[in-house]
Amino acid sequence: MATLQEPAAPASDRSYWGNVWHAVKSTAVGMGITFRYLWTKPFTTQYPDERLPVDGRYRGIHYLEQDLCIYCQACAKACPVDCIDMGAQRHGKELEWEFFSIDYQKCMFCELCVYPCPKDCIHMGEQYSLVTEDKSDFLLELTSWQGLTEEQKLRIAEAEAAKAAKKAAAAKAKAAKEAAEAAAEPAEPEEGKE
Amino acid sequence: MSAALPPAAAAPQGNGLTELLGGLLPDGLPFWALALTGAVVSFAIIFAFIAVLAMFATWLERKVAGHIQVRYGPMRTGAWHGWAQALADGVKLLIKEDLVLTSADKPLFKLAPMVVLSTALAAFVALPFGPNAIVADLDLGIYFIIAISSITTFGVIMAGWGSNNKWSLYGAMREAAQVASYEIPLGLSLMMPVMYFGSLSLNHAGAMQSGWYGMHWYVFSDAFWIAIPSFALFFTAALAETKRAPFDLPESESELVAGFHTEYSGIRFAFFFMEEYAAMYLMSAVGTALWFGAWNFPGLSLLEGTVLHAPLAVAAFVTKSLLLVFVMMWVRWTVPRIRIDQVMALGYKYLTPLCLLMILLAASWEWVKAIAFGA
Amino acid sequence: MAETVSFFFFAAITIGCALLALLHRNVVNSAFSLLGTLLGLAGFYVMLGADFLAMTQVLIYAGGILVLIIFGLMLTQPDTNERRMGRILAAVAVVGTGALAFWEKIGVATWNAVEVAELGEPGGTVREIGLEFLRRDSWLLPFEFASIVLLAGLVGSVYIARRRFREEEL
Repeated sequence: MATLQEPAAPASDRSYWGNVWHAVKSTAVGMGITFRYLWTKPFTTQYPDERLPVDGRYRGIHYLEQDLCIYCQACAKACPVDCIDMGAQRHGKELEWEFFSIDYQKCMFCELCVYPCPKDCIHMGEQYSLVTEDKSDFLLELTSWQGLTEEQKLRIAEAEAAKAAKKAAAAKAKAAKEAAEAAAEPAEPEEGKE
Repeated sequence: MSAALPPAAAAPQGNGLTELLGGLLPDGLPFWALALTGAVVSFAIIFAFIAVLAMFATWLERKVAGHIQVRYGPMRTGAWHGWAQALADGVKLLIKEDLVLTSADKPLFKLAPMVVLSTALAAFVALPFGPNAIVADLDLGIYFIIAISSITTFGVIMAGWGSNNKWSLYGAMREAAQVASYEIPLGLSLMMPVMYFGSLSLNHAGAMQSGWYGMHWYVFSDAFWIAIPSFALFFTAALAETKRAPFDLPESESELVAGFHTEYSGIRFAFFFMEEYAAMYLMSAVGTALWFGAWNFPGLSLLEGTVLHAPLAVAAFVTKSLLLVFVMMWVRWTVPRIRIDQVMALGYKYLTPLCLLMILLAASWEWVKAIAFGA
Repeated sequence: MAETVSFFFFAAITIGCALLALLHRNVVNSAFSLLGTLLGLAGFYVMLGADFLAMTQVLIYAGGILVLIIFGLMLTQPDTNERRMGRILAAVAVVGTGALAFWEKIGVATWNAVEVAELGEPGGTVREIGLEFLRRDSWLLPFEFASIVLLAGLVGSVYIARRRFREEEL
């Protein structure tokens, strides 16, 4: 039969009044401590309004240095979850960007896309919160412009102009050469005729 | 005025409210109609007061909890420091679905929050907010408050049993054991000021502390060496009576989910919530009325007869009571919850004998004063 | 008018809750409905001008003894809480017989209630009660005797509770 055990006496050699004094004192000391903490400046930050700085190695949402990118697809090939997609048209040396998107429903921030980049133009950013009410918002566009910029157009125009000039020069040279040849030619046949 | 009236109708005996209503209502109304109107208006005022108080106190509690833990607490609802948080919570609780379990004891389950809240409301009847701002200046004010608030236990047990949930039942049984034990030291600790004032009426106690330009509070009186320990005893017993930490075993969330109100949602849960803050305020107000000079503060007597007198007196009383409510919150976020055997030991081995000792000292002091000064 | 209305109001509460306590199949619910009976009685005491008695009724019976009764019922086996109909009928029979036997007395008490209420002193009774209890030629001896009886009960219960531990220790 299970027997009721008398509860062991508390392992304290304090007297009755000692217990009373101890209780009052410890409560008072504790309340003093909490009162001090009540007036200290809170340690927390008001998150959406103020954000803690993130570490330099932090792997947040990517950012792309679009003007450096050469549309080599190295990052897209390196991505283990195939979340990078890009499209562009080449105009000689210039790229006409259509899109460079990362699907953050898939992305796991592994940083494997960063290493193979030959131009070091894709980086892991500092932004870490992506809050949205629509799933399609997770397909994030990283390009800051699409199509051709004025500068690019200018450069293309310059290149075309240079090409045209070169062509013209070449044509001119050819024409000159032809003219020279033509000038020299009649003698020869004549010589040949004779 | 006849004494043969129900308590509700007898409530507005001789206070400012009845006189005010008497002026507003047409002449020739029978007394019972006037008394009934007074009761309804008093109820409305008390209910509005408790609702606002509960909202303010929940906000304050969360701010105090936050800042003691070196964080902010609610900040985003409303423009300034999340002041509208309680408002948002209140609206949320009002529009939430009122769930009643199929296996619950439905009458008890539905009745319990009403019993709990109505006892808290009834006890406010005897609180003196100002010299004439008391709903019912009962001769037995303190005794009435203690008696009425003892029924709150009953509502809690009803909730625990009616929920048909083992956690709720455990919470209710702890509540029954704890509150039944702490009613003794609570009642005994109130005897010291009662002996000093020679009356159970809180209004009388307030009036007796108006001397010394409003500083003749019980804690500053000749019996201060009795008043201060007796207030400590009262406050400890009041914490246990209102189920506040470190005596929050009936609803200890780390063990019993939420104790006796685990199964409640929506407006019924809000009733329990309001009752907790109403009970906190009630105990703080009794402490203020008996130990800290009720509505008196230095300089109040200079305003006697002016328009400002009554509002300032009420404001002083409410402020002092809210300060004690703040102390209750401060204790909650300082002292960890104690075990049930420690609760019982504290109640029976420490508070009750110490209260009896203080009663002996207080009675002896009154006797010594009577002999020495012939008072 | 007000007296009559409140008398019947409290009478309805008291008797209704008492009947519920008697007839309800669940013992715990019966105990809960006793609250209404006790509060109704407190209302009667207030009507009779005995405010101290009313408050004591609420504090001791509703807040103390009833809580202990329910506590005891909750600690017992739940399956014994359902009462048999036969026992309820027996209880009704006992109360009915008692009521019939004392019909005359009950009737007298009921009809005198309104007159007594008019005799009641307005205002407090607590000072008079206190003085009566402590006056030598009044109720001092019974009062002290009652407190000694209660003290003996307390000491006895402590002794019984202690002895069980002692025996099992040996």
